[in-house]
Parts: sequence; C-alpha cells; structure tokens
Amino acid sequence: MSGDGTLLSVRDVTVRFDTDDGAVHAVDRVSFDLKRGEVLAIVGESGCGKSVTTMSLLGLLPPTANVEGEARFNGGADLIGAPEGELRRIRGREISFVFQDPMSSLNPVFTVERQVGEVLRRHLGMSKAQARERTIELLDLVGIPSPERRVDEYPHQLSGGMRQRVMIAMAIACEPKVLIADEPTTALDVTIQAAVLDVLRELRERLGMAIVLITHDLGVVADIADRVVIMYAGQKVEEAPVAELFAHPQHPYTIGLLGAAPRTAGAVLPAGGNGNGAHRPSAPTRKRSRLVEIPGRVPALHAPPDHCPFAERCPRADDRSRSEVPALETVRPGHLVACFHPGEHHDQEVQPA
Amino acid sequence: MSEPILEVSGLVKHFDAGRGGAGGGSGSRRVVHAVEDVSLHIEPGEIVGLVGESGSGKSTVGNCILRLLEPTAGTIRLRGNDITHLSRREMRPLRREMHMVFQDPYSSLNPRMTNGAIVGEPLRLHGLADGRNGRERRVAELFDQVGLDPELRHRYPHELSGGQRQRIGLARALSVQPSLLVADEPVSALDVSVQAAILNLLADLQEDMGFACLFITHDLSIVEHFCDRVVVMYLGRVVETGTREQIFTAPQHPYTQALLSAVVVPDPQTQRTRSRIVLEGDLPSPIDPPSGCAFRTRCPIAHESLPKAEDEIPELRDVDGDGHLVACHLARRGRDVPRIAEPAGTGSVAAR
Repeated sequence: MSGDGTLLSVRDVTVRFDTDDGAVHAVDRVSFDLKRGEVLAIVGESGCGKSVTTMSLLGLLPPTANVEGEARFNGGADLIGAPEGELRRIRGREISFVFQDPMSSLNPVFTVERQVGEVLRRHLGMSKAQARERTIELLDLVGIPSPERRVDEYPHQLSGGMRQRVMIAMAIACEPKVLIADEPTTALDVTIQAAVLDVLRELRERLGMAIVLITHDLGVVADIADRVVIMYAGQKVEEAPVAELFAHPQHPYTIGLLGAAPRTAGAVLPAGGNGNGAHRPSAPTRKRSRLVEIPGRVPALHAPPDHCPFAERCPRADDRSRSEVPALETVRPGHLVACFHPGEHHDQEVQPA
Repeated sequence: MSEPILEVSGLVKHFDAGRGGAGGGSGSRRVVHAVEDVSLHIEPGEIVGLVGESGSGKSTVGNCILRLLEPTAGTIRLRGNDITHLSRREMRPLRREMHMVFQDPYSSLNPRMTNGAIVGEPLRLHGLADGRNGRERRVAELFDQVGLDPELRHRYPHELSGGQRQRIGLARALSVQPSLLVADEPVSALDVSVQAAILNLLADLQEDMGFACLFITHDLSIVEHFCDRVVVMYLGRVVETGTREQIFTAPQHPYTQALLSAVVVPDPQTQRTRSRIVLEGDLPSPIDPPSGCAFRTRCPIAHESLPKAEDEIPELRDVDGDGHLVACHLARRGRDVPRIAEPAGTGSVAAR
C-alpha cells in the first residue's frame, strides 16, 4: 500500500468503442482514488460510463474497446494493458466484482458449493473439504440462514436476495481488498436491499474492504457511501465527501439529480412510541410538489467533447460552456467540480422541450 | 360521496401450478394463491397507490381489473357495472372508461406501427374522431399535450428514447379520455431525471383531465409523492390501507412499518440516523402460504399473539373509524399497533 493508504489509483482513463457506426467515446479522462476501507460511490444515469470505467480497469471489456490511461493497485504495475495472466491473478483475489443481475451471473447447473468453492480452490488452492467448510462460513457471513443446507442448493432454489448474497460471498471468498459492486441492489425489493446494504457495511467494518459502489440511486449513496463521484456523458463532473455533496452540491447536473428524486420525508419512522390513535382523518391533499426535470437528452458520444457535455441541457450554460471543456477544480475542501458556473443555487426550472 | 369509479370486492386469483411432488404426476394439483380476498375502491379523480414487493400480487390485481386475467372469485365494478365476467366483446365499449400504461416502454408499443398510429388506434376503434383528418388533428393535439413534438407522429417507437416512448403510452391511454387509468410501474424502467418528467406530466394531466388512477408500484417514495391513498399488499392480501398521511406518518401493520423503514432516503444525515427493520427470512411461497396471518412467519412482534395468528386470518378492519384499515391481530381500537423497536447499537432487528 502506498503511504497515504490509497489502494486503487485511477488516472485519466479513457475508453473508446470502435463500432460499425463509428467510434463511441464512452469514458473521457476519468480519475479517482480509493482508500482502504472506503466506500466510493460512482453515480450517474444510463450511458454515463460508470460501469465501463470500472470494467476497463481489469480487462473486462470486449475487444472493440480501446482503453487508455493508468490504473494502479496498491502502488503496483499499471493494470491497463497488463497481460491477461497478471489480470487474472488480481481479479477475484485482490479486486472482485458483483454485478446487478444475480440470476444470469450464477451458473444454473452448479450448486452453491461448486460455484463458491471453485474460487477458493482455484485462487487459494484449498481442498474440496476445506472449500466446502469455508463456503459455509462465507454464506453465514453474508447473512444466509442455514448455510449448511443452502450450500447444496442450485441457484433456482434461492430467492433474488439470496442469490445476490451468494454472488457477494463468491466475490469476497478470497478476501479481496477491493470489491466493485455494480448496481448490487437495483434488482432487489427494498426490504432485501436493506439487508444487502447491511452485508456490505459489515464487510467493510470487519474485513476493512474498500468498495466501489456503482449506482443510480441517491438513497443508496446516502446510506452507505463515504465519497461520491458523479458522472455525466463519460466524464467525472463532480466529486465530494458524501455529506458535503448532499449539503452543498455544485454542478447543475448533480443539483438536478437530487431534485428529481421524490422525497420520502414521511417515511422516517417516529423514534419511539407515538400518539394513541390520534390520527387525523385527512382528506386527499391535492398539492403535489413538482420534481425537478432535466430537460433534453444525454448527448451522443460520437466525438470527444469540445465543450461542456452538459451545456445543451444546462440553465447556466453560456458561450464559454459551449466552446470549452471545463476542468475539474477544487471549489471547497475535498470538493471537485467541472463547471464554469458552480454553486449551490437551484436553477429555475426549464420547461421540457 | 359519489359513486366510486372502481370497486373491487373479495377478489381472488389462483393460478394452476401443475401437479406437486418431486416425481410429478402423482401429487395433488398445486395452486398459486396469487391474490386472496382483495377489496379496494377508487373514487373519481383519486390516485390510489397499490404497493408491495415482488410476489405480493399487485400486478395480478391490476391485470384482473383490466380483465386481462379472469378472476377466480370476487367482483369488479366499473362505475357500478359488474364487469367481472364480461366477454371480450362486452368489455369493448368499457375499454374507453379504463385504460392502461405499462412498465416497459420498449415492449408495450407495436414496433411496426408509427407513433401516430399507436396513439390514434383507440380513437379509431372507439370511433371517437371525425374521420381520418379529425383523428390526425386529435393525435397531434395529444402529442402536444404529453410534451412530444407532433412531428414524431410519423416516426416509429424504436426511434424514441425510453421517456418519449412512455409519453406515447400515456398519450394513447388518455386519447379516449378514460375515467380510470391503471398504470403498472410506469416509470420504473426510466432514469431518475426522466422519471421526474413523466411523473410531473402525469400529475399535470391528471389535474387537467381529472381521471382516477390506480398506480401500481414497488417504489414507496413515488407513492408518497404522488398518491392520495395507499393500499399495501403482502403475499396476495391487503395488509393495510389509508390516506398517504396515515400510511406514511403512522404505519400500523408491522409489514408496512418494515417496508417504510427499508426505503433509502437521499439524505445522508437522515438516512444514517433512521432505524431500519430488516425482515428475517424469505417471502413464503404463494403455493403454500402460511395458515392464519400470512405475515406471521416474518413478523418481528408476533410472539404473544402467535396462537391466534396461526389459525385466524386477520380481518382488514377500520379500528378507529378513520378510514385507516389494518389487517393485524394486534390492531386495537384507540391504540396503535406496537412500533417495531430496534435493539440498541445495531441497525436491524434480529428476529427470533
């Protein structure tokens, strides 16, 4: 580990896909650091490049992807462009992945023991019996009830939440230092999501695991992240510690995202006891607050950007935004933003086109 | 009060799951109890949220109401008319009254029809516009109303974004000016910013046109934002129903309490100081639901009333006469169902 506790250091990663319809510039010079035991959330909407960025680090993209930049794990050699054998040694062992859809990421014809055990036997050279025992321990760690029985079951016998926990068990089998979780709770019901988030929290606390959490859900971010990177159209547009980001968002896109999520003020349960049946029979209230809309669409990424990628949709855009790419600058302690007009003020709502 | 737009009473829907037993063939016929004894009503202009997690039966209720599924028992009344067992032909004129919007804007639009033809089809089928020109004019108006460039009429669904397609779905549904819109997860497949735009649009249209809406979703923050009244389902049954305020500020049923506590709030300070009830175990199988109270196998406060919970299905009762109905043995007049307390120090309730 390097001196400041940085486990994973990503610098200027750029990903371009060469397709029949021309190049797609999916990720543009994205950098971030991940410290030991830290939960870093990468947030953005469909197509912003949040998944591609992390997949590019360990050679998980198809051959049509052209990846540039630098990524170092634990101060070691550059992972980008590293030989497959070297990446294979790191994948699973040092850095592992959990994907969104646990049904299609598990092999339907093998039992849980076989799938989790394979990781243990391959990476750690365990015997079959050792691997079985360790698998049961891991299932227990991720909160699967009666693991001795579950270990012999097939994926179809498990519920969605259970499968996602098996995926996490598999990902943490070798006690990796970094877990990259791509929308790990998106396909799950809220009560199951709550349990999976608890599992992630526990892993961080007990094993000191650092987690990169890729998500579009700001509620999940608020729940578990330490630091947040906001991506838009392949670029990192804002980065800040979680409390700072929610309290003082600077980029108009971030402010838009925060305003677009419906607020669940009343969902906060009262702390202790409550009034004795003193509910007010209320007539339907007709006043609905409006949600913030972000007009327009994400730009097509056919050329590297020559101006602020958010300019077409931004109420603050001016001539400069339309002709120059804003650089990331520190506007407050630990708070980076790529905008010529950063600030917390809410923009006037623009009517949708 | 005026006549309800929709009145569902004692709705039951069972699905045949083939024969049981590992070997197959010899076992008795197995039945999926998807919906059991569901009653609900929707008043004119009211937006009712039907919430529940996967397997709660909420979409099956919606499909029975739309008569896309044949109910096993119970009655469905639309403006007082019993539509439970009407034939397709008999249903046809009533399709004007009740229209639907689906979750997946990618698979619910016919890819071989132009957007204009999709929106104009109900007008044509119901003979609601004056010939081709009248229909064209009306379709252009509808496009404008849902925030789409009327020029997109001549394009096909695949040329549109997810948000634009959902606007087409809305324009189609509203073309016949229905008195009830049944929307099944209409924004779940969309990104947050697009979702916000569609919800705002739906709210505006509802205010202008005054239709009632059954909004089926798993997303409680949307329900709180959008709905007047809420119906909460668990394992095929309604466990609680009340106004938005009643459900979100004083949830009674332990399941509703757990569900609301699990919602993540996009605010780190609030989110990290809230208590969270983590339910133990999995949703029981609807093929073999628990006897008595369906929630008893996971209920963190069921212990003392367990014998009763095992033999007796709790009735959905309005204990305080304020329109807040709860199906829980622990509900008492003038007293709240106990809050599920969290043990000090942890964020979850360890059950049993």
